[in-house]
Amino acid sequence: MQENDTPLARINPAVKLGMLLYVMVLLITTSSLQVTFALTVLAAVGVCSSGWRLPMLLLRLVPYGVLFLLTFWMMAAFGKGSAELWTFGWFRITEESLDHAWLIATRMLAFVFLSLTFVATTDPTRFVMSLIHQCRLPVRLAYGFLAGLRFIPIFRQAIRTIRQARRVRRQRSIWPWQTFFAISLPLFTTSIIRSEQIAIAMEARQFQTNRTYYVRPIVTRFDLLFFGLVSSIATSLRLFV
Amino acid sequence: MQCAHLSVRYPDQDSPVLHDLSITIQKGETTLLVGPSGSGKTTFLHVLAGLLPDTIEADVTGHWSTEGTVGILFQQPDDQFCMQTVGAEIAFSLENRQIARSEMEERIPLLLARVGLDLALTTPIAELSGGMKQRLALACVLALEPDILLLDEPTAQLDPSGQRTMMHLIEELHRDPDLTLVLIEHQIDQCVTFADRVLVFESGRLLLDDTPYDVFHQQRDVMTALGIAMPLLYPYGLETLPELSGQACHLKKRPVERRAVGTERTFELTRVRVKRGKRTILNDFSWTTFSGQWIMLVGRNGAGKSTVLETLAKLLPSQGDIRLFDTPLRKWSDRTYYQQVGFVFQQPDFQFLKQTVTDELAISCATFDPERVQTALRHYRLTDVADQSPLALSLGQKRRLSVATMLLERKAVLLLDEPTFGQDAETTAHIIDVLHQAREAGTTVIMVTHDMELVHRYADRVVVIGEERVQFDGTPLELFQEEALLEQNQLFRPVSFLYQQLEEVKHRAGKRHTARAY
Repeated sequence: MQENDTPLARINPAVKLGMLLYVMVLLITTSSLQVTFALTVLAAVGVCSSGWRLPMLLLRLVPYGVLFLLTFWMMAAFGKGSAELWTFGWFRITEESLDHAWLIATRMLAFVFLSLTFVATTDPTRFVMSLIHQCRLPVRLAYGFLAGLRFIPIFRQAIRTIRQARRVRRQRSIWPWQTFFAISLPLFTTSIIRSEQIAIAMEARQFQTNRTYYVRPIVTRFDLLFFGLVSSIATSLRLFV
Repeated sequence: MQCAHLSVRYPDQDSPVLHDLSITIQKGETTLLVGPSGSGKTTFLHVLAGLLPDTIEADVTGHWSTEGTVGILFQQPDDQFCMQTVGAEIAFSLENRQIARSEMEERIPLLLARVGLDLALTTPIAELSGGMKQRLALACVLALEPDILLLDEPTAQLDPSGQRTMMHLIEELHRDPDLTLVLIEHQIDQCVTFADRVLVFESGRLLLDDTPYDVFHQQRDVMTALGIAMPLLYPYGLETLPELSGQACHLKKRPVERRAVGTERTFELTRVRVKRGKRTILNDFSWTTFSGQWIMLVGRNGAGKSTVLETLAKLLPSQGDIRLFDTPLRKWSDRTYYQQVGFVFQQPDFQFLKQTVTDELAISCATFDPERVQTALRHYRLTDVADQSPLALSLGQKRRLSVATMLLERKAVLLLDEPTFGQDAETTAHIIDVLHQAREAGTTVIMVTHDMELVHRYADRVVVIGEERVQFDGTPLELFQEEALLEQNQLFRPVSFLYQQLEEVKHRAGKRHTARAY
């Protein structure tokens, strides 16, 4: 997660999240292919204005593209229906299953676009702070989450070291879950000890729920305007396409 | 700040950590706590910080009280932060004290300036070096405006230049007459000069309570018997150290006697380019190592010393020609390569693969031999913990085990990433002894270190890495002459070298106490 200087990044994170959730709800409640397409285009506009340069964006979308094709194939080839188009072995593509495949795969893609838009334009600290102020998230939980975020790079480094150590010490596992346990066990034990220490350190710095805030996101008129604009576009797409 | 008849026992232990302790510390005093590891120093600090028994579960009896607010700085730089950026982290302390937001904007830059950090407020904490993190942690504690500042080995996890900066900051804080300082520190040389009082702990009891001079000079024998690291010079200076004192004998020790370096080539590198991600660490690196050579890699933080080791260990890709025994690296299979080459990681936690110490040693033997495992357990003093999980060991035990796993089979090359870092004097001595034996047996030992005393006494060859090239490659004594180079790479000459040099100057001058070497 990161923050950049696109207009989307300036919107209050809680408002932005609410807006994206609203579009997602609209997507779930429709079974019309046209509406889903229209909302996907809206989501695509969002992800294109999230500040990632096009080559970078396409690179990040590659795994989701594969997922799109897989979903499409699964839904199309194994679906039910009577109007048969093509059969081969177990695969049986019907008109109904093809329609269904388009719907589900496009819906999935729209979800991916919406989530990426959010991730690309939101700073985690500001997001959590916004949840505290706008959604009344308990402070202890919020700061615990923020402290936990710091573990991600630490974990990455630790996993790398464990892999290297296994290589140097010529320990190959026969089954994949053995590798999983070999990596996760030391990771868990060390992170329990470390999180305890961080908790003690936070406590020692007089952590309390009664506090002032350095970062205090507020809901501006611009946020409301934006929310109104996007939700009305989405609603009209849902209702009138 | 005082406590009377204070006893502390942790729930999972039979005997108390602190036993009937009565201590009064005056306002504005600077107190140094010393004692062997496990003697209860840290627990005492936690009690003073008010963390026991509310935050850390423990059985506490007796009376204790502190006047004013307390701030505590911990040993691990990484485990004290909960935010992502420098500004937000300091703000976290201010938020807790309910300082208004407008005031935070003014205070944060002032606090950063006070600890000598010149950083943008949006700098991610993950990008800072250990020394900078610890200074930031100090700024966060100072943001609480404490009357009492507790410091738990603040420099133990830092490199020498980080240690010096931190100690200067602490000395400056000591000058504040209203601030009470309580400090646990193993780098006694740097803080003994400004401490008002020294408390010596031994298995939960107060053994000595006196001025630094009395403790470290008069009671020297008692302290040595406890295995506590002693200051190298105190109470003398480099030039006033009496020739016959124990410290002088220690400093006079010349580099150890050893066999000549072998003639058999181990590694041979021609025009190698070492990279980490997209960053080039070394360009055009040509190098030959020989059997029975002890090479130490030094350089400033982030210069890429560990990356060089990982490249030699065939863990990172490289461009150019690297050969071991005249065979290119890519022609070696992993199986045969790691029979010849051992690697000791900086963090021992992540190199253990088995559930018990015995198993850990057993998988390190080429053929399983219980007899050898038992001998190794004894040799590395791990017999008592043979059935425990390697992760449950103490720091020193972990380090000994990690070295043991690599040295059970004879290796042609042993690569070590800061093996003595953060270890107590005893473990360091033990590891160095083991490595010395391996070297005598013909192993090429290549290790990254910050400890210049070790470089002086043991290195056959020292390599300074920095700014994408090898800045120096030669003997330690040659390196110590290169003043500009040392300074540029944040390296310091060891006290033992300085003393010996001074002695030599005195000797040449033919008279004592008049010569000034620098």
